[in-house]
Amino acid sequence: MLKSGSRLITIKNFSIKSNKLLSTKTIRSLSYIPTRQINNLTSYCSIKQSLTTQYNFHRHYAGFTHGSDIPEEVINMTTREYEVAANQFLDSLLDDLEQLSEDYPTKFSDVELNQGVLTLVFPEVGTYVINKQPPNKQIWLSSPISGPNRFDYIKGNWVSMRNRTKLIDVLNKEISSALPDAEVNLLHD
Amino acid sequence: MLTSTVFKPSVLKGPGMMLARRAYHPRVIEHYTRPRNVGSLDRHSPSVGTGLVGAPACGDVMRLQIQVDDRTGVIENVKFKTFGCGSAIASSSYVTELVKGKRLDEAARIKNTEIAAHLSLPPVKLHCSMLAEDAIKAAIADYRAKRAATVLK
Repeated sequence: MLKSGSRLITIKNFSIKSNKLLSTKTIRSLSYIPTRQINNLTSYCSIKQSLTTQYNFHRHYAGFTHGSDIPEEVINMTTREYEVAANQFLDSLLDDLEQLSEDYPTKFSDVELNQGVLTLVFPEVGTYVINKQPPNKQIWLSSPISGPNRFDYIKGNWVSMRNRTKLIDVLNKEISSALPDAEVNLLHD
Repeated sequence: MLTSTVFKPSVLKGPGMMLARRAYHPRVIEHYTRPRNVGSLDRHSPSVGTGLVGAPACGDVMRLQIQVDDRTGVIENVKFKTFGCGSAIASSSYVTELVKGKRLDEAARIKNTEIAAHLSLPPVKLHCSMLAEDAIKAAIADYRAKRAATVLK
């Protein structure tokens, strides 16, 4: 990945001396690290670890307790691909949710996307938290109805390995019941 | 890492302040400061099942071990060790209290919602209770796998 001839470049010195030796793609994929916020939900994933995951090491965190059934495409996904897919998903979700929240301000009082953490507040139901979990290349959901769940990116969808549900289906279903008068069809054009 | 998951008021602005002001429930603090059944059992023993779940990258790793009476299928002893936030430690401590003295099939039915409700975990911490549920299930699966191997001999 680092074009350095036979010389091994350490993380410490490549940023100072060897930028020219890196492909632009690598620089781009590394560039998000310094700006990553360390003080929100994802704080417990240290920067050191996110550097490690750049290089596509085997993921240890299982979809379920045994983790024997993680598809190849999940294991082989690069951090860059994860970032693009997760950010795009959360951004489009935010657009749709903001519209809903404007239409139903009492039942759906707040929606906020802050550093990869999407928070939805339904005063009568509870608070949803949907957050990026970069070390696992997952999106995590905490729902007041269905509880916690973790989703992997499989064939263009965020799918739970625990019960095979799609994140978008869970949200559409639960938000429909929270807003009975609304036509909830998130991420559907 | 143990303390980093406590919300700092400076982190969240605007409506997020609602979360920022929320402190741990007294039961979480009680379990965190006085955890039950901390330690380890002999993982090579055929009557001990070990569950190890979580990701070091995410800061939460739980190891839960059960010692089972081979004849009755009752969990006689249980030990845990958790590296993680206060909620993760409290969830695993509470789950050890729950499963002690239970039969395996009863213990396997424990749900994360039960743990989260007892500890009044906030939304962002529900995942800790799921990890505790996964830990006991993994320990039971490990014990059963060992047991099957022993019986087949």
